[in-house]
Amino acid sequence: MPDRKDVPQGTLDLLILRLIAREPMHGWGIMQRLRRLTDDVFQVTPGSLFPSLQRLEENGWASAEWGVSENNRKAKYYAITRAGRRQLAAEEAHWNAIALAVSRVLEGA
Amino acid sequence: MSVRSRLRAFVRRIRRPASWERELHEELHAYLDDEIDARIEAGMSPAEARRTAYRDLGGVDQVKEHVRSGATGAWLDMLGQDVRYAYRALRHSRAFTAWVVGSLAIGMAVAIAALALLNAALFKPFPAIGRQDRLVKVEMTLACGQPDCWSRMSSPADFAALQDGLTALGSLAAYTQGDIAVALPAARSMRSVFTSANYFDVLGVRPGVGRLFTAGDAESRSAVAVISHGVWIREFAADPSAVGRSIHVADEIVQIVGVAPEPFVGVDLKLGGRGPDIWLPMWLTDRVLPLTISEQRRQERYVDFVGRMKDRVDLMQVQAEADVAARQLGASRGRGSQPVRADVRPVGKQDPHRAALTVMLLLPIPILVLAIACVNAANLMLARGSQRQREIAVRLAIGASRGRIIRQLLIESAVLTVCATALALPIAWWSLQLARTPLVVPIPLDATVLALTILTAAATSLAFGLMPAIRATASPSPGTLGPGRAGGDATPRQSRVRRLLLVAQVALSLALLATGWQLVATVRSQAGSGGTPPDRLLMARFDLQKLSLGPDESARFYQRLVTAASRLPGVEAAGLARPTSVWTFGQGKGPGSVVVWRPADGPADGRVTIGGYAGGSLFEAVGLRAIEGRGFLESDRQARPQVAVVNQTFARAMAGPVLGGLLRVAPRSGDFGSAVEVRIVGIIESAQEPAYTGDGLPVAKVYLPSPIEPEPALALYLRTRGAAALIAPPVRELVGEIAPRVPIQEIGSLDDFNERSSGPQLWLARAAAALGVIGLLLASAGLYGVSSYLLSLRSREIAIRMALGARPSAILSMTLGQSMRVAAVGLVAGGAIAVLAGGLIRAQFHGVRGIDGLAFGGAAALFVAAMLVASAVPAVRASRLDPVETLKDG
Repeated sequence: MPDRKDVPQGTLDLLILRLIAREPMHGWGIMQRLRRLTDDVFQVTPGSLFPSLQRLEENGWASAEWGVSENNRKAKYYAITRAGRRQLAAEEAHWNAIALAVSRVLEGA
Repeated sequence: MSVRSRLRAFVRRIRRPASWERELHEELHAYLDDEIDARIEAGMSPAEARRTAYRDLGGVDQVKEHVRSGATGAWLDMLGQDVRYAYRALRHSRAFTAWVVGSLAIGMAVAIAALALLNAALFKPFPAIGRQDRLVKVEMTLACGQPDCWSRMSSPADFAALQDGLTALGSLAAYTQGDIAVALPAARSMRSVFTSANYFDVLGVRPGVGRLFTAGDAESRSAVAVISHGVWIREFAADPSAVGRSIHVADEIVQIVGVAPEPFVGVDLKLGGRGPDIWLPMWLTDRVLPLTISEQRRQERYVDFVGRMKDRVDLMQVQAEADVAARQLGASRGRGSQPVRADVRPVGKQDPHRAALTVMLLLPIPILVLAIACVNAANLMLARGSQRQREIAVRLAIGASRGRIIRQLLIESAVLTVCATALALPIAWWSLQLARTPLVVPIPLDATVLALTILTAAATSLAFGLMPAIRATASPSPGTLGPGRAGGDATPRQSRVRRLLLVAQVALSLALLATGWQLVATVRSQAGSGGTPPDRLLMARFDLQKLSLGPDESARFYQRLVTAASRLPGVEAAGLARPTSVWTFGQGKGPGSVVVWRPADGPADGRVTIGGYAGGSLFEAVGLRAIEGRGFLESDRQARPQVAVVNQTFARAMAGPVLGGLLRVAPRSGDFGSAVEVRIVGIIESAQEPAYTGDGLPVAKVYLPSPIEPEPALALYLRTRGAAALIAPPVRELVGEIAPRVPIQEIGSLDDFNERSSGPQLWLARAAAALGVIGLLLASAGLYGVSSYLLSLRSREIAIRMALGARPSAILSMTLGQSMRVAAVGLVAGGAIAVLAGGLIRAQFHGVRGIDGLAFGGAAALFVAAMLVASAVPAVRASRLDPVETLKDG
């Protein structure tokens, strides 16, 4: 098992927004997808996932609705809103700029 | 957008917290179910999957708490939760709550009352006045020839010149004050203010009833008067038809045209007594108000000026103009050689510097009482904290952070403070009503006071709540969660802190009590003579000059008065003398004195000495016995006195034989032509002077059998068989019969006169003593509360001791000994503080004696008694524990 890293502050919101931008997802689904996509590098716990979902909903970037999951269970699905898409675009641009800048410095050093 | 959705979320949270919680619950459980399914699919047994899923989640409640605390408005939620929790916790322990709230309420009430008092005395504008910030007082002073010596010189003659010269002022008014004789027709002595016609306009005062002065009054020289609201109520029973009535002011007939608004007292703050009774036009002054002694010497009347600044004018401009006016006035009135100075200052109760000083001087005492109450509360909180260790440990274990619990405990103290404050406000209000403060202005609990109260409450709740909260949550000991009864077994460190707090409390209240006692003892040891007790000596003061009665008429009145009074039932002796010739009541040597010298010396060596005319049986009435020689005989009462009686103090200061010695005595006015030569025929005891007026030592006095100058202002001294107050009504009646127009300026027992003359000082001394007693009660209550609380927590330990064979007496002496050790250390520390405070007070209040052994011993004895009772009651209770019952419960 690779060394697990904490998710950088604020990045979790961005990752979740990116995931639910494709389709509405519920908490457990988001968790699985995150693990798979990051090869378990990021240690996302429910203790940080649910507050993050709460934040997205309160900020109006995600809307939540109760639905039925693939396992036939009642689950709360989160979908991205228009404001959420704008936020995602802004965050992505911001992140890319930083990543680019950091990698440039690292390569140039 | 984001703000709006946040707001919506917030509103949703407030409105539907229940459904929100439920949804969160369901969501988390859906997550867990999915996770368990996934783990079973991966090959775990259902039980294993379930266990690991829950473990990896990190606790459902913890996750919920994370979500809650991240949510908008979470603080509100938590606050509500904490307040509800605090409420439940406090309701659960009623005795504790009542104890803390009661003790804090008393402390807060004292602090609030002090704040209200200081606010009213120092910072609030004068009542019933418009825009006080634009008002200025203009004071003209004349250099008296010595450096830094300026005497007031403002006189009516300067008024017109100043009105013209000070163009920066929209208007300027003049006024002067004094007591006058008024017949309503009932004869009254009234505090009057004589004003220019524009006085009320300048101050922006509106009439309460009728009208105030107008410019027309001055032009037509109408004899009009405005009476105070108090006089209107007292003398006219608030009858509106009082307006329009005519009254006698001295020999003038004056018509009442209006009543001033209720709280109006002018713009001068006089402590003690009451505000002005009546306002009269300035031009009446010379007809009805005699000049005072110092005014007579200067041959002009002192007048105060108050002006209202024009818009966009500041103090500097007025001052600049006043400087010019002062120079001109100095030159034009032939005072050229001596510089005249003008001082312009804003109207206010105190200048900021002195106000700050007063606050710093007076506030520590009530703050000390509040501090004692806080220590009380903190101590109980500490005790309770150790009892609640188990509860706190459980909360910490199930994931509450330490900060969260500290906050919870602080909210408990905040809830306690809010309750205490709610109780304290009415208590403060009532005590201010009952305390009869020496302030003539109202003392409202206004916005300023309320704001300060809230600040004080916040500080209070932190002061008594923070330390116990931090201590209570500090690293719980491993055994805390174990079985057995909760808490009670405080760590040595905790009980040390508790003991330290108790010691501080004992020390503070002892210091307070000793200081208060010291002040009261000082004031109490006031005017007292060898014979007549102060409550059996009735004094009545008259001033016939205000009625422009001739000297003969005056003399006849006094003779009839003293003769008739001596025959009143219940009167043992009646005498006459000037009001300040026996005791000066802090008025110095001015009004009640003569000039005395030895025939060998010249009048230039004459010394101003208290005394003068002693009519009737003065010495018997005031209870001064003759030590040597005799008192006055009827044969001594000649037009030119031949003999004199001196007191012991005078005799001691004299060289050579006293009895039979010759003295020359002249009136204080310096009229040496009417000097008489007298032989000393008797030496009487010295009357003790009020201690607060100076060093408290008796003053040298010389008395004569008959007057050497007209005596329009005398006092009747009556020694009564019973309480002096009982004789006051017959004396009033008597005066009404002899001379219906003569008002009694002041009547009362020697105690009353003492109180009035020492007014604010006595009041402060009493207040300090009262606060000392309150502090003592609080400290005793604290000691009682804490020791019984701690003993109740230690009941197990005590029961075990008893089960192992300790006798009740051993338990009693153990518990009592612990309490008394605390009291003893506090006693020593308190003594040290009291000595320091005593020195400080002595430096600030003239005439206060140092801390004396008796005062301190008394305070300490009272204290030890209170402490003994406070700790004995719970100790006895502890020694009567039934070990079997107690241990069974455990």
